[in-house]
Formats: sequence, structure tokens, C-alpha cells
Amino acid sequence: MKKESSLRKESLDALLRVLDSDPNRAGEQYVQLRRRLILYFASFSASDPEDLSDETLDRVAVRVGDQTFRSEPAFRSYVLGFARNVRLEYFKKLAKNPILDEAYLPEIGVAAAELDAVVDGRLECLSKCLDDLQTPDRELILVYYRYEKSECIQFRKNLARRIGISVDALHTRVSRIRLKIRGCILRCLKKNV
Amino acid sequence: MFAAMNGKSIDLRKFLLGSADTAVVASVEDAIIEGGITETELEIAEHTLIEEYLEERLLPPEKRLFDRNFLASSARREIFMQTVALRRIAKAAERLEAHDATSVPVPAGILATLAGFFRSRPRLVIASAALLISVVVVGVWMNFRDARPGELVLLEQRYAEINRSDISDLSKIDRNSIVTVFPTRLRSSSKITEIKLPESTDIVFRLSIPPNATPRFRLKIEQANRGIFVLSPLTAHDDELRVIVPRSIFSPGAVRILAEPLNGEPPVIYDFVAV
Repeated sequence: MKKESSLRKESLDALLRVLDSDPNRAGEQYVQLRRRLILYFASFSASDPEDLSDETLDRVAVRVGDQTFRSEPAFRSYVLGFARNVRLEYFKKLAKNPILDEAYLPEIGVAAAELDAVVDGRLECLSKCLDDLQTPDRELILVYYRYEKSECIQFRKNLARRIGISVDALHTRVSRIRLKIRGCILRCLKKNV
Repeated sequence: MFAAMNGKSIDLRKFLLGSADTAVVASVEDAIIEGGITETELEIAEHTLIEEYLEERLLPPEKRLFDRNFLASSARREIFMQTVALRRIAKAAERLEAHDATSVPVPAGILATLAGFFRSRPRLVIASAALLISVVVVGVWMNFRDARPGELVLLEQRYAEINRSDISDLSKIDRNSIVTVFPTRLRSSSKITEIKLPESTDIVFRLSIPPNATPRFRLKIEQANRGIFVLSPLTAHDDELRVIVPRSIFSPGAVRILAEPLNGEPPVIYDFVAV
């Protein structure tokens, strides 16, 4: 949120007024919009989606005062236009100098030994993060990867049946555990730096 | 925008691989901003692609797109690495279960002797039962504590490093820790060799390999038909693969070592009974 602090109050107020006439609801809408922008930049695999969404919201806030929107979709399109520009600028900058990427990692398949070392570097954090999970979550994620290739499809079907949920619900549950682990590993790696 | 879940998954897949046309890209972007695509849906789509890539289930054009577009950023490579690490630890969990499954039952003769001993000393039964329970509880706790899959992976990682060191000079190695094993002949009907494993912390296996075999291997140790320890990559010298493994991974019983050439050739198999 470091960019947000630089945003002038009147610009932020203008943005909040567009989001909702009620300040509390406007605040909630702002948080939700920011969350979706983070997902938008993450879907393009940007390394720092939080910063990019704050940059987008800053730009929207500065310009939004002059605009009137007839519908929600019109406002979303407006925001999306800014988000696209921020994304294009980000990737243009990165293409010129990939090492600027904060989470720079070697390219896959180029140097296997280097790659192994990177994976090894995550094992200790992952081990700790698995320990932090609740036992049912830890057991589920470990058993989920029990089989590979064609075997895994049938195995996961049986696993879902055994737990009493659908296969889609199983994938969703495991995905949420992975997201928890992902956040935990990134915090652990930052701490270890 | 997205009529069906299936259509949404397909569009998201194309979007992530960078093969979606502009209309699909615009619709996915819009769906993300309006909340029609959730974080979980995106994560599942990414993860599905990574799994298919790792299991070589992507079609050749998809694989090219995956390398070129999907893994273009560090953030995605980070997710990729974490998936590889997670699968590795999950496999270790399976090996630990296999290791537990190979624990040796107490021979009937010992139980009979104990029964006879306690029949003649009934007062000792209660005290011994309490002691036995505490030993079992501590044993189970120790086993549980040791059974963390992350630790097994880290142990394998440590031994992979140890095996990268030069062990060509056998005079520098404790002779008592060396075990020489020859490949199992495919049609051999002879009895499988019994080997008394040394009590040293580590065992140095000298595995004889066929002449002109590829020098790079992945080593898998199995007991009760399930993998208990994996080491890779290992390099053979002079028709011999030398490998250092921890003694603690073995239980008495049948052991199979598979030296799998990294070029995909069939593995060289070594069978013996650890006593």
C-alpha cells in the first residue's frame, strides 16, 4: 500500500464517491476492486501484483473526477483500460531488463542443476509450511499427489468419494491449501534472505 | 461471457498459455475484473497446466507455449518450483509409509519365551505391561516425529550432496561400511543373497553396472515393493556405481535397488535380503 499513501485525499474521495455514495460500502468496493486487480496482474504472472494494482487505482483516482459512468460495466471497462496500460508498461520495462524482476528465477529447462538448487531451496520452507497446516489439510495435500499420470485421475475420484465431496470440490479444497502454502513459502523465503 | 464451466476452463487455459485470441483475452480480463473468475479457479487452471507439463501430458504445441509464455515470468516459475517441491515431499510421505510397512514383526519364538517367563512371574506382568505401553507410546511418538515427509526429502537432499563428493578412493572409507552388490540376473532361480548390513551410520554400496552403460543414474531403494529412498543424479565410474546411503532407512527383509539410467534405458536391478 505504499503508493496509496501518496494519493491525494481529494482524488481518493472522488474514486470512493464513484464506487458508492455510502462511504462504508465504497470502502468495501474499493477493497474488492483492488483484490480483483491483484488477481488480474497475477493472471499475467506479474511478480508484484499488489504494487501494480495500487498504481492502477492511483491513476484511476486522479482521473475519475472528470468522468460520469452510466453503469457498473462502464466503470469496470474504464478501470480495465488503466490496468492494461499499467501491465503493458510493466512488461515493457521487464523485457528490457529481466533482472529488475524482484523474484528473478532462472529459466526452466536451461540449467537443470541450477533449477534443482532452486527447488531444494524451497524444500525447507515447504516442510515448515506443511507443519503449520492443520493435520487434515496436511494429510489431504500429501495424499492428493500420491499417484501420477493416468492413475491420479481415478485415485482423486476415489479420494473425493471417500471424503464425501465431488471431484471439483476436492480440487477447490486442495487449491485453497496450495494458496495457503504459497503465501507461507514466500514469507519464509523473505525471512531467510 | 462464459456460457459453461468447461468453456471457461478452456478459455482460461488458452489465456494462460498465451494462445487465446484478442476476444478471449478481453473476455477473461473482463471476467477477472467483474469477479467472474476467482482466485481459486485461476490457481486450479495454472496448477493443472503445471501438472500436465511435469507428467508430459501436454501436446507438443502446448508444451512450447508453456515454456515460452506460461513460464515467462519469475512469479510463474516460483509457482512451478513450489509445485515440484510439493510433489517431491508428497512422494517422500509415500516412501515413509512404505518404510513403516516394512517394520519387522516380533518373531513368534520371542513371544513364546516372554509368555513362559511371565507365567512363572505373575507380579511382573503389570509392571512390565506399563513399561511396554510406555515404550510403545514413545516408539509411536518417535516414529510419528520421524515420519515427517519434509525431513525425508531433506535427508535425501543431504545425501545427494554427499554423493556428489569424490568417493573414488576407497582407502579413505571405513571398509566395514562397504557393501558390494551385483545385478540380479533376470532368469536366475538361485536364492537371493543375504547381506548383513553394517552397523555404521552410512553404508557405501558398490553396485556393479553393465559395461558401456550410461554413466548417469537415479537410484531408488525399495522395500516391500515400495520406494523408501531416492537419490539423483549419481555418476558411475569404471563400471561401478558407488553410493552412500544412511543405514537407518533399512529394515530387515527384502531390498531392491534400482539404478535407473537418466537416458530412459531400463533400470539395473539389485536384490538382496538385509539381515
